[in-house]
Amino acid sequence: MQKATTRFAPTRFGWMFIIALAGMLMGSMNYNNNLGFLFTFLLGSMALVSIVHTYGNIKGIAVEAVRCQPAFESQDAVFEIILPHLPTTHFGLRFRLNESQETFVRSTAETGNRVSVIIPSPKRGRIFVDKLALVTEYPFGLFRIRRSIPVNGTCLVYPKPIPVNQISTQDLMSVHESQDIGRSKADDFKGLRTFQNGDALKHIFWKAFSKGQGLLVKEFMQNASPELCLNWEKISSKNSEKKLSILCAMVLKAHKLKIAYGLNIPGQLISPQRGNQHKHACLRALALF
Amino acid sequence: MQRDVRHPAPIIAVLGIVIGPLLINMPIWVSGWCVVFWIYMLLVFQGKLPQPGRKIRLIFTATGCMLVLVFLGGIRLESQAFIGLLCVMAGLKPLETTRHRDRVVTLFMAYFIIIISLFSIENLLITLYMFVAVLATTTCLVHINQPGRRLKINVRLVGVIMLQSLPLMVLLFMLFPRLEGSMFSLPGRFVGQTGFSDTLRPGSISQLVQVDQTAFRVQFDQKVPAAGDLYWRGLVLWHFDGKYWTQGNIPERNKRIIQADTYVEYDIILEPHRKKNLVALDVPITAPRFTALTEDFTLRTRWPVRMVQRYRMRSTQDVQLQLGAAQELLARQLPPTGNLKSRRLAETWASRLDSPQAILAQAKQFFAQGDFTYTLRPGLMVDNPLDEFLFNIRKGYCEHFASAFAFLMRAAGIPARIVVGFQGGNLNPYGNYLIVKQYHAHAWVEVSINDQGWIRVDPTALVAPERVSMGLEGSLASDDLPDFLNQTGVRQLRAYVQRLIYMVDAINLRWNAWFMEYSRIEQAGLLRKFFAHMSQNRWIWIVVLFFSVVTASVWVRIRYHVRSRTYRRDQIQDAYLVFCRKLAGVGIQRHPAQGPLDFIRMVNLHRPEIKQQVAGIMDAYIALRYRRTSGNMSLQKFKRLVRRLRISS
Repeated sequence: MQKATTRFAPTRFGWMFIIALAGMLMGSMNYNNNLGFLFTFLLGSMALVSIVHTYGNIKGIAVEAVRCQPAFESQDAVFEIILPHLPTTHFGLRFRLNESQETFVRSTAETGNRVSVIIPSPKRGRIFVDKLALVTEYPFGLFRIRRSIPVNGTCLVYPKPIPVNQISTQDLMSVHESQDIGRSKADDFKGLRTFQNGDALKHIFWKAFSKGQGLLVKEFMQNASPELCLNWEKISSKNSEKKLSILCAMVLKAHKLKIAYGLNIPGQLISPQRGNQHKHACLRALALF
Repeated sequence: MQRDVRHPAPIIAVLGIVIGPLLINMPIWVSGWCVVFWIYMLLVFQGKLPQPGRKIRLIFTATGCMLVLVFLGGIRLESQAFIGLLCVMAGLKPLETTRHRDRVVTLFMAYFIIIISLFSIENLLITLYMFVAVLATTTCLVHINQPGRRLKINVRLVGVIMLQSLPLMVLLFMLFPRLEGSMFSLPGRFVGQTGFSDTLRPGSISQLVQVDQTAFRVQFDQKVPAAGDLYWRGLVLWHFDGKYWTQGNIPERNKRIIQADTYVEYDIILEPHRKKNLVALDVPITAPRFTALTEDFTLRTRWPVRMVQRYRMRSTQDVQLQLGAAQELLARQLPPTGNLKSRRLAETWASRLDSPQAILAQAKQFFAQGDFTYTLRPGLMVDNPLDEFLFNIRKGYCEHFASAFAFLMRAAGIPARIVVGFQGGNLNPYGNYLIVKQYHAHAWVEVSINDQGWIRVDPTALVAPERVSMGLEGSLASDDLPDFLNQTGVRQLRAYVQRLIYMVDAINLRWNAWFMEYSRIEQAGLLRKFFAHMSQNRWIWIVVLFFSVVTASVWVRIRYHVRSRTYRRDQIQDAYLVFCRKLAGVGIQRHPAQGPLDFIRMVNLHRPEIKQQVAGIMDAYIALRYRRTSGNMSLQKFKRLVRRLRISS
């Protein structure tokens, strides 16, 4: 891992200030005016001392972690930079991760030790960030300390979904590969078990209860709802990015309808399942396709 | 962000603070101009008036420049006009502060205004003011860079930075090499001073009487001489053209070594007058550095006096001022024609009386008994002014008396010359020094009689002896006094004010002696204490080397220290590990992968008696490590809790 580097330089206002100070010094020398000297040296000393404050403002800021929630293509990827506990308040910090937008933190008392940095409209796949640029010009804006801190962060970028409402359930079904579609017969009865908190009242076997056999609950087969397998080959589009986008939208739609779904794309087969984790697994497969 | 309403008010406040001292000496319309534009600006930024376009701003600027040109005189960017232009620009500048860049430039302009007022005014008050102005301007600089922070916090930050920079400032001030004289021939001090002129004509001195400005101050080593002896020699005028007396040739350096047994020693603190001559008590016998004592016993400097100058002098009344052969010719010069009546009178004296002493006595008598009046308003004398004065009007001020007396002497064949300078001075009771004002300007005559050398004759003293013994106020009729001396009514108040003025003057003199006149000589003296036996040039290099080393080490420290601090110790972790070690000491070992909540459960299971303390420590740890803001929990508190934990084994 690289080491953090720190660069110090006057800003353009800093250079202007230095030139102005040189002029004031010349004036004071010309008029041999001690008050002029005193003023020039006061300003010069204050500028020098302010460098120590600039340095103090950036001191102690390291990076504990950089993390990012997965984003969809052409949305913003929001990286969260987690700083260590900061015993003092720091002002006027600018954060930038690689080519990201710059985030200005007016005061760490307002943001705490989490700073969000945005990379706008990323490309599908995985983005890596390895460099955090931390810049401060506090307090006078005359001098700038820029620190380059090595970090290690990634962000998954899912394909851009085609708007979900453009995809009907019919479309979903059309890319379904298994033939047992429309298995709409009644759920298979599996057996009885004792009641547990949270069981639906309509599943209680009231007959047994009335006979004094205690609370029993009827159990049914789980795969009662339709099961899909979203298939790459079934999508009628030449453009593979577009195919990914459609599949992405379908995954989202299926997830929303709480249907168990699987994914079949070249090189990867995900068996039908439900749930958040499953959704992300599918989207991840699409992102990294 | 672009049109930020948080910025105009502070910037205008800063401009108001920094330009205040300059506005005092400006005509009132300049202040009005600034105030009007600042209010206009505030209204614009509150959205009550439309933002002026580029064209309108240009028109404003042009108007301002025109006003300065017309009312403050001239394109020569000297003093008044320059400061006026600066004030006018300061009034307009806030109109162009919509961008950050413009705001910063405006504040740099505020710094520039401060240094201009420092160049214009030199006293203790302006020194104190400087710190306030720097505080205000720099606070505003912090404000525009950190918008939205509370004023109090910004002021405190700048105050801290100022205090921290004071030692460096003092060091730089004392060690920065000083030059002698000016580097470039730029205009001198920004506020104009009236000096006594090198031409004597009717009105040239009575004009100065209106000026209540200090010309110079004098500190005597011993007793202040009597009022009648306080003749301050400035210039000697040799050439008369019938109306004007001028210097003629520039006098040569006096090559003789002058010895005197009795003399007085004193310091003169001369206000700048932009002329190349110094004043000294009649008759000076030494000359300060870079100054020559001339053959007519005046002091001639190498450069015009542009700064307050302090010099030590020695004067005596014991010396004979010899009349040289070259001088004799000059001292007898007369215009070929004009003022015939006066000439005839002098010629009568010369033919009737045999000795020069007698002629001199006769002339003195003529003035003392001739029914002359000492007045500031003698009326116009156009043709043959001396005849008019001596035989008709008989009213005049010192320049009339001196001019007429010298003319009569020359016409009677006695070498004579005119000396211009000052007479008298106000004793400041608080500092025991003399303040000589512009209104003390005076002219008198020197005549040379046989082997006695030059003798001082003051015809004004013959006419109005009070002028010399009691000063200006005692000698002029009250309606003849300049306005500022004639404010009757509240005499008591005037006395108080006068005392206050004297007190302030004394304080400023002390301050200037201590601070403003710190120069190459004082610096050399100071450095000699530290670097004994070191040549001037060598210590400059030592100072340069010293500051290079300091700068370099600061640079290195910032570059490398920041880098090492990136991997600084995690103090929270350190304290937590201490806590874990303490528990391990009594047999409760934390598994490396065990989180704090799980660990606490384990501790509670084994050691329920320290449940309370452990809970407190864990709360602190979790707050510091995992919570977004750690609330009122501080690292110090956490460390203290860990330190206090005692577990009996």
